[in-house]
Amino acid sequence: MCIIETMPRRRKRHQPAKLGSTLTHLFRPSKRNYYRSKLLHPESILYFCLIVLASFSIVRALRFFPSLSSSILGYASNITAEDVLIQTNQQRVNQGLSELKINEKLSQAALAKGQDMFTDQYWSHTSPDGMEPWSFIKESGYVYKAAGENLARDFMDTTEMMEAWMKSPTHRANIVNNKFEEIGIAVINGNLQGFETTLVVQMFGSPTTVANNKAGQQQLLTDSARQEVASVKSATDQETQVLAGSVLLPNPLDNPVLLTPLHLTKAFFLAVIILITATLIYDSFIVRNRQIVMAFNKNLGHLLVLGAVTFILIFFRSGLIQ
Amino acid sequence: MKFNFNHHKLAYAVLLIGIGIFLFYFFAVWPNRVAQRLSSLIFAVFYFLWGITTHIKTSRLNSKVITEYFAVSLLIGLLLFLITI
Repeated sequence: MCIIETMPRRRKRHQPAKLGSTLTHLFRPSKRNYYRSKLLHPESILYFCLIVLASFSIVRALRFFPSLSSSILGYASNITAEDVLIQTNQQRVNQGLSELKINEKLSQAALAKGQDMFTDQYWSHTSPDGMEPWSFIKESGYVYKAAGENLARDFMDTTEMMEAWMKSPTHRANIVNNKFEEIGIAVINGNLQGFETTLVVQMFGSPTTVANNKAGQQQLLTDSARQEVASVKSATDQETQVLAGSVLLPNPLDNPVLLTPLHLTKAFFLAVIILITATLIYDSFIVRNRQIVMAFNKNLGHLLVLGAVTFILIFFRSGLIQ
Repeated sequence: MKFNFNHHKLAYAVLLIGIGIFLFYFFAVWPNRVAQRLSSLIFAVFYFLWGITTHIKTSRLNSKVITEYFAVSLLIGLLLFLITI
């Protein structure tokens, strides 16, 4: 009876001390952890690797909860077809080439390609059923001598996207190809592989003189661009209506996302790095104050590489090109 | 740490140069994610070898040191690899 009464009291009294002891063991170098914070032991670092993998998997798994991922996660962008046209032509002018003219059929082909990627949930030049970009161009009725396609997704703004395209030799080759005379552009919002995003499709072409009507091309470029951009926007609206009727995909512009999957992943990773970095600094401080003899301080090396990784995590940019 | 740094100037100089080259290359090859992943893998291996080499020079290499550098290299490699997916 006496033992039963005293045991709970003892446990209560020792709980804070136990917690303090655990924290000391984790963070403070002492004889108990061989004068090295427990969190810096190799096995603890390996546990951190598992935490990193788990957090990454959690972010990726959010795509399986559409109600959560569509209201929180996604890539909100301010890319417009008009900006894409202006900046594409700017790059061509810088290279001494003529400006590309908007072609309605190419824009329809670009829109069809974007819609197809959202419908079949793929991110490639070739669809899962083997449909090539040229098929979309032919279906639109555009007859070409030469054609090309550039794809982009998850970019925040047009400038960053153009910069990415221009840094890729193959995409750059399309943009500054002197054979191309016309362009079609589609900027489409939708849900791709579980997350809200903006897809940008550029279709380039040089028309055969017989098949394509030249009348539209005689217009001033600015007028032509406006007309075609309006055409792309109205087509996108149609697409949203159709998709909303079938699978209820929200328009990201109406329902802005809070943060991107990349931001969430970065937050998890930075939390791990901050914890390890703080422990390394504290460990170094204690070792130095206690004048513990060390032939070589591993902490400084670890801090330097973790600093480099932190820098990359902070400045890493979203956006994929294809 | 300052004392330690002065006694291993060459080792830290090599590490700093390695970090500098890696950072420059990582951002220079953007948006090529494959090249970024490959450079991350090389950087992780570089850090592991750097740690082993410096400890061989101080004659303090043991299995615990090897596993610690392996674990840290694995962690940084994993962080950089996953962020580029």
